[in-house]
Amino acid sequence: MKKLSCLTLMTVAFCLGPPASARNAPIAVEREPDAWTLLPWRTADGVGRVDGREADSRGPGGFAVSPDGVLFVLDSVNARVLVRSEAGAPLGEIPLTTSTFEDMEQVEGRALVLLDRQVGKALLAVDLEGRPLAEVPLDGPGIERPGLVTAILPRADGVWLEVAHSHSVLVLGPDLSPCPRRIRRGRPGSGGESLHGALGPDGSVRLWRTDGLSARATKETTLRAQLPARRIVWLDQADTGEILAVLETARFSRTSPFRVTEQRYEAVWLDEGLTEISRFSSPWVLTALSQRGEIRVTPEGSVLQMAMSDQGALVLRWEGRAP
Amino acid sequence: MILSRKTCLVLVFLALALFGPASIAGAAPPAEPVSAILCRAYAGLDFSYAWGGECWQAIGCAPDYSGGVGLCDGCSDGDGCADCTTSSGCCVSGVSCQHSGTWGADCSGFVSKAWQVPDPHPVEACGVDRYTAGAFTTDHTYWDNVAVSALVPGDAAATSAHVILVVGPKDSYGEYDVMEAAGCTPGIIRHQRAISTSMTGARRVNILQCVCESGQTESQACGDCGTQSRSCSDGCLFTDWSPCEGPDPSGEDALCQAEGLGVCAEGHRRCVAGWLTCEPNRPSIEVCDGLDNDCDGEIDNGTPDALGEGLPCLTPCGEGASQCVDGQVVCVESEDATGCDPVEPVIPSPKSGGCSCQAGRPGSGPGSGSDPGSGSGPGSGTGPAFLALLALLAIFSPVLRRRQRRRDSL
Repeated sequence: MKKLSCLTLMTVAFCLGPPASARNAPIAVEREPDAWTLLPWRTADGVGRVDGREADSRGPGGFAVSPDGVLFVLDSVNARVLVRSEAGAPLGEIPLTTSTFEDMEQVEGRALVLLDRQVGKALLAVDLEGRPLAEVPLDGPGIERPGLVTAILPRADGVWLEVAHSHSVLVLGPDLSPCPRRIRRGRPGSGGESLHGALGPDGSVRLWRTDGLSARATKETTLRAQLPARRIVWLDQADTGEILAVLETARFSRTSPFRVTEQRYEAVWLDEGLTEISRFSSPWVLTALSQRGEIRVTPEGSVLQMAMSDQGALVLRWEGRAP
Repeated sequence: MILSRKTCLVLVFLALALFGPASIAGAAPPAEPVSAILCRAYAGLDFSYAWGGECWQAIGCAPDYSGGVGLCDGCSDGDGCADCTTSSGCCVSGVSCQHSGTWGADCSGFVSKAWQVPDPHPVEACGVDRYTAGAFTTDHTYWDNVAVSALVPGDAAATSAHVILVVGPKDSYGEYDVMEAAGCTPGIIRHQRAISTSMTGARRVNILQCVCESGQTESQACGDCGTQSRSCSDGCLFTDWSPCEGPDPSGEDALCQAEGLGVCAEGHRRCVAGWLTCEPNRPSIEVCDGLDNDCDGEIDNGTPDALGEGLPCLTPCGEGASQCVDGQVVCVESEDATGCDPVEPVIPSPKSGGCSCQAGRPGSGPGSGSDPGSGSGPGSGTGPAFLALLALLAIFSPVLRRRQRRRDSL
């Protein structure tokens, strides 16, 4: 009887086909990056890494790209920011006072903001020479614990910090000085609206917009991929107005120890009305090295990904749109 | 040869790592709810990273820092390897990892103690048996492997070099609330982090699955104006806490001062995601109302269309053009109008959209002579009342002029 039930179940499963999340999911074109820059491990021009033994391992924590294409790589281990041209040529470095920064963003090509969640528990703004402009503690209204901060979001009205992918808190004004905190749901976007994302129970991803104050969605859509989505790596509106969502998708073995069998990132471009325009996939995924900043978008809409390889940290660039 | 205490500790730890968990025999971990694991973990927050360590001081589920938190100084060789986490303790062979104080743990010591494996011990017990990180990547008598996509609070995720403890539910983006003894500089921390697929999940055995009864609900305050609740699912486990929400303040409490200019310097207090925030009034198109609607620091400095200026109208003295004056759209006579001293200035309400002729006010409106009716076009800020007023002016204007002429002739 048990065997029969099992067989019946298998037959039903076969007839039903693949899970709903994969059915009718657009196929992402796997594209080679159009350009890449390698920052070798542990060289003067490269980046540092710490391979923990009974501890966390880490390399460069994040990166940023300025409006004119200059690349800034947070070489956390060596307490510095490497500056590279768009083509990857060294342009110098910016010294930092501590090696505990986990993520970084740039503000209009004139300043960097650096996130230290664990030790300094503060957000630091520095100019491009590394001179401090402002420092604001993370603790305070809207941020229950510094470790809850999940993203730095520079905007026209100042720098917002996202908290647990739930809401955002304005902590620096447009002049990068500390300001009275304001709180909005989701990630502040253009026109006063906020952008939200959430994994669905079936491996899909729901994206929606609100006015930032109420929970009511003004627009929404659901993304599906060939593999179940397990993480939203990136979700933000580019300067072009379009929205980029990068999903980590993966399938796991059904037997212990349940290791991953297939995985990739899918980058999905949507218009402002949340209609999908195009998507492509990247085989590079998060490694054992802790890394908060994985994706950035240039003002022209090129997608940059910082990935870790055996040789060093790679900054990969995908231009334009997938066919 | 006499070995220093540190060297001895390192050798013991290396032996432990080499010969693996098989050499550790212990009692089965206690049957307990997940909350008991989390309680021990929470108490370890902010204690130092101590390579080979596994103890901290607690009062209930809270850390007790009264005996210090320990100090991990990193390596003394100044080679830039501040994390003190390699197999020899530091980056350079033979250099010891510097840790002082009683309390501290490394990643596997932290998880072993929270899980009470291989033996149950108080969190204050130092120098007791524990596992190394790699042990958690394979099935064991005391734990079962699970996919990293299926982690729940109380589970661990490990590689051969590191292990972390999940202490909260997955957030909407798929990141986890975790605690870990991350390294020498950060110590034992709690944060949101993405869990790489290079890690393997593990779930301890002997966890009491049912911690609540059907119909049971709980609520708690969150943020500074919110509450959240959870209910017992299937009469066994609590659901995740609901989103933190709360009502907006009302009455006088609802008004607040914001950073901004004009109307944006004021706002309304809202409860957003459980936190009070002053939401400034949003800038809008500048209209003629005596306010700085577009928040640029200037009052009534919008375009003529938006302000309702430059539209032909009639004053008691003749033709004029609408103009925004002191927050009101008024009808100002043109320079080439016939000229008169209006005796009965008409000051219509701004709401009516009408214009007025005010005695003594300089009339500098743009040219006139076009069809008066055109003043009711879109964007002029005028309405039916304005049209009615214009019609009345058109009717009574000749009468007024005749009266004026009669007065002049007297």
